Amino acid sequence: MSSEPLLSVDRVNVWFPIRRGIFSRVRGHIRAVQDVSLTVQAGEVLGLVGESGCGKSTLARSILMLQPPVSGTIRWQGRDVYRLGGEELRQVRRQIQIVFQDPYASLNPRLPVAQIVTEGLVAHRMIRADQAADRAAVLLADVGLGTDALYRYPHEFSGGQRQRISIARALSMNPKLIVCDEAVSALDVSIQAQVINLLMELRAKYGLSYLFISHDLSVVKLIADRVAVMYLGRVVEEGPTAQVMANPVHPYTEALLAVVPEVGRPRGQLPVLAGEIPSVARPPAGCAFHTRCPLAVDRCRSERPELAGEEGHKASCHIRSA
Amino acid sequence: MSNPGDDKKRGPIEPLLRVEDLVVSFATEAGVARAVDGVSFSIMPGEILGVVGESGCGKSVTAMSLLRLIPHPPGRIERGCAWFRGRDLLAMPIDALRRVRGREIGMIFQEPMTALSPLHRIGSQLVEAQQFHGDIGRDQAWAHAVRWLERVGIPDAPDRMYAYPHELSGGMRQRVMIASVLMMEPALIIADEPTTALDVTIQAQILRLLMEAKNRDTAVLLITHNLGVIWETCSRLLVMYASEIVEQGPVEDVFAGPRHPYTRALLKANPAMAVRGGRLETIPGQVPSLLRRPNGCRFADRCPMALDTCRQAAVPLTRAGARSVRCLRADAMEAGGEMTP
Repeated sequence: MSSEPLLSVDRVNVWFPIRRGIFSRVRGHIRAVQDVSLTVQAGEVLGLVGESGCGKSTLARSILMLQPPVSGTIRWQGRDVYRLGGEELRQVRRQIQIVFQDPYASLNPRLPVAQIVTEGLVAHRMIRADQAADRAAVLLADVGLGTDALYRYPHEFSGGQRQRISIARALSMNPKLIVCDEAVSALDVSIQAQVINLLMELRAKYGLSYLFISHDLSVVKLIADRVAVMYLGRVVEEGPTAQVMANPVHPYTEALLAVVPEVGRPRGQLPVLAGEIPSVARPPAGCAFHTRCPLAVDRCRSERPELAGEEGHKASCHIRSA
Repeated sequence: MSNPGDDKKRGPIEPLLRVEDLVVSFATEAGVARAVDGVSFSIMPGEILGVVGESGCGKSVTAMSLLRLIPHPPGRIERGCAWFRGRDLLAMPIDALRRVRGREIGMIFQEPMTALSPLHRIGSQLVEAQQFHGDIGRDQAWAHAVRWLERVGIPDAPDRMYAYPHELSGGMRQRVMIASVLMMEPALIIADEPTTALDVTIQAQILRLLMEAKNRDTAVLLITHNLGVIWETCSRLLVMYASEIVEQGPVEDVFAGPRHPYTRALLKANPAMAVRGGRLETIPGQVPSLLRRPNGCRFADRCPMALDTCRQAAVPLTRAGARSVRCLRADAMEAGGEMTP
């Protein structure tokens, strides 16, 4: 690739202690994120997919500087974000914003919309309080809401409109990267389409990058330039979206794609991936996927495969290589 | 026909459930809102009937009304019948309906904790359900429950019988609830967004279980907003919009050639059907308020094909062969497919 990436995550581990007993002694760790490396270039959309508990949201929290990793570094334009202080830190905090899944839980029900979308601006002293209303109107116009929304409260809006308000709030900071954590997953199909279109318009207009976290592969397929697939805390496959979707290498990626019911496929032939996702507290030895993998051999049960492959498209599997 | 639901050769058979002109309303401070407005449909044994529509279209209220689970007040079943094995579910005494619920008609909810008690172990809940409905010994009921937990893919089922619901993952709880429904071998299962909160690999497991139940001649009313799920599992579907059925027919036919502009818009907004880099089709405007339904077609204000006549009087659901549609411009939709008046 060309220049320095906007965001680079380098061998990051995020662990949570498991405490037991009367002295709350640490008895082990939940290894939520293990040895994850990723990059996001300026203007790029990176899709992050995986099932519940795979660590994708924890990784997002680390990127947002809300959960320090136990090892590894997260760099923003080359600088380690956990070593920043003062004005530099405040600047990076403005440049990385988030839109959450649940627009009912992530907007303060007691504040009018104008205040919700400009709160950050006032806190960062980017505008004076008396300029807030004008600025809010501009932000809301960007996400397709009119000035009549300014002094209304979150409960007066539908789910799709609330998600627009969340996006306006993120935009207020002039971010370079927006982390979308299941941002369209809770919306009805036609509303989801509107919000996806909005995200794509804003990307074109402001040159935004997105880290797009989703369990819905059809949405990721549509908007992500590159995609990383996580399983039990690790990235198991990563590459250009079209390539990964058309030629998945890792058996888990293949299974994830195969089990999504999609209109137009042969009907009544959905394959089933047997078994459970193992506990993150006691991950299986070797390849974490071996307990469910149809291709697993002895080596997979003892030796952990490294992420390897051609430039751009990598997978961690002993049996198949990218 | 080539639909999964009717691959078996059968003579003419009676529908298992026939719903006629169901009207359900809710009293609100601002007035009476009709959440379901004149819905009629039927389900055959061994058929999976899909109901699709967006939040607030009335699909869940329809399902809940069949077992009279609508809170009253504010909800009220104003009129209609639901004929099930010769009895009207909506008119029978509530004690008789309790014998039907769970035994003859099972219900699967989106959120398993609405059906499982947090205070009791899985095993005792599964045994109690069987003993409520039949003269069955505790040991026999226990063994039956274990067998079903294994069938729905719960690992270490005999041990899990002693677990409380909170000790299981969300996907496992959902499968416990589904086991509790399937083990009673009901004739009809009403499944309201059964896989919406689940991961895709677990979703596939649950859909497989519903297909297996269908193959044992169980009928399923499957409510979902996921068109992929409908395509995969259903033989027929109903499309609901603003409290009414707007289109009905065999899944393959409706998806290949929707006859209602709303159905077509829903299909086009589905990201799975879109082209990468292109804009997704959206539906302009909003669903009309429950309190102020327009006189004519309820979709007219958002419809690219609407004419003045569409807004003048209520549009009837018109049947043609296996399909029905509530649209004055259905022929124009089919003929050219141009989305202009």
